[in-house]
Amino acid sequence: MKHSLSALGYLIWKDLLLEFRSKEFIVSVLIFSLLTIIIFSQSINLTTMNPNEIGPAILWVSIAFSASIGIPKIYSKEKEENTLESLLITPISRDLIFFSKLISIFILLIITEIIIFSLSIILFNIQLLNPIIILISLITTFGYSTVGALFGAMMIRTRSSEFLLPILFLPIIIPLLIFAIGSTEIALQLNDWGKCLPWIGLGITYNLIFFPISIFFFEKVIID
Amino acid sequence: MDEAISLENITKSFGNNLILEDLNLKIVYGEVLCVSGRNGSGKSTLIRILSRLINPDSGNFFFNGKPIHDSKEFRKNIGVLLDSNMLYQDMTILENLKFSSSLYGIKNPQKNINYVSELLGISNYLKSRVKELSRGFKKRTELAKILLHQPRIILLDEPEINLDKATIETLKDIIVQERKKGASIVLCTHSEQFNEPIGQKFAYIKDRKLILSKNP
Repeated sequence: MKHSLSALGYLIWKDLLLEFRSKEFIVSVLIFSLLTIIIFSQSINLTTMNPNEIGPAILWVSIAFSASIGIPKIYSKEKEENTLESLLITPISRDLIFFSKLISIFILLIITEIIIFSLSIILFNIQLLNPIIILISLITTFGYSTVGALFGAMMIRTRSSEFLLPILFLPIIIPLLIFAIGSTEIALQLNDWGKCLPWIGLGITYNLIFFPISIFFFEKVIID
Repeated sequence: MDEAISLENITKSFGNNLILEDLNLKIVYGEVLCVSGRNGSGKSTLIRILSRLINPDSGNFFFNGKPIHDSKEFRKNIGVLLDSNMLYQDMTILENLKFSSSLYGIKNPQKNINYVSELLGISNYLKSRVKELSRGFKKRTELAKILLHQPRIILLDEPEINLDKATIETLKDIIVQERKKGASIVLCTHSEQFNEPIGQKFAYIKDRKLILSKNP
């Protein structure tokens, strides 16, 4: 158990170290989502529309699209440098590789969301610094990371992975997107835990379904 | 001598391309097996089957005389040099070796890192990023990485590629040393430099079968 935790820590350290040296994930996710948000903010007349209604949709859709672009970057080193095989011959559980990818994607998405949220507060004048919204974003990001860790692994052995991943990833996260947009809208308008709880239940249920499914399929996906 | 790995009637194909058919192989501890064969004869496939990176279509695989129940225990005991890259290019040699040590649960990694880096002559380059190294130094680092956890079974796929003559001699010394310590070594190679006696048995792959021979 101690060895597994230490190995998991090193796997995450390796992913984050490689990311901070290449900055491929952060740069692609951040630029894409910032561009989307800025384009929407300029094309919508915010004086006639309620930002609390339109803001969450723009925010979460842009994060979902940019995550689908960023997730292949987490696997790109294993793919380009063909290092997955050297991981598979080590005596660690394959689940640990999945957990490390999930946690790495989660950490990197949270870092980019902090910047995206800050910009959205300025552009849309919406109050995102709210405990309910923080919980919603943690649940949503966990879901994105879980599905992303599985589908990213699928892309290692395929060509045109950066094109294929959004096609597979986005339809699967639609329920999560509905949860994120709906619950953020209610949280912004009502700021009421009671009204948000059914939505939060939906998000947690999604994660409870997809987390074990992703673990189950991950090993099958990475083994030739 | 104790049996390390035994393959019985192994068949492997990729699509319609049959690579290995009813292949049998027994390797004992303290033995070096040098496998040769033409390009595409299935040497790399054999190494991948022996390291359990790919599963055969049919046949039996035994480790220490028994079918494998705990795949992690098997992987703890093997060191594999593949024909593909095994290092993270954006990390230094030291970071790669430390990372690998952590995955094998090595308790005092610095001691092992010092030993293998001295052995392979890379100790002055530990802080260099892998992408800045020559191919020869990359191969030396890969060799250091696979010896780090002192495996009992060593599988080498064309280790001579990118190595100069002096380093091949060092590698041969390492092979002899590991064999004397009781390790079992399978070496797939084209190089005639491994034909010189280092206590090895010879085999070649022909018509999808492994044939033992007295001479290289």
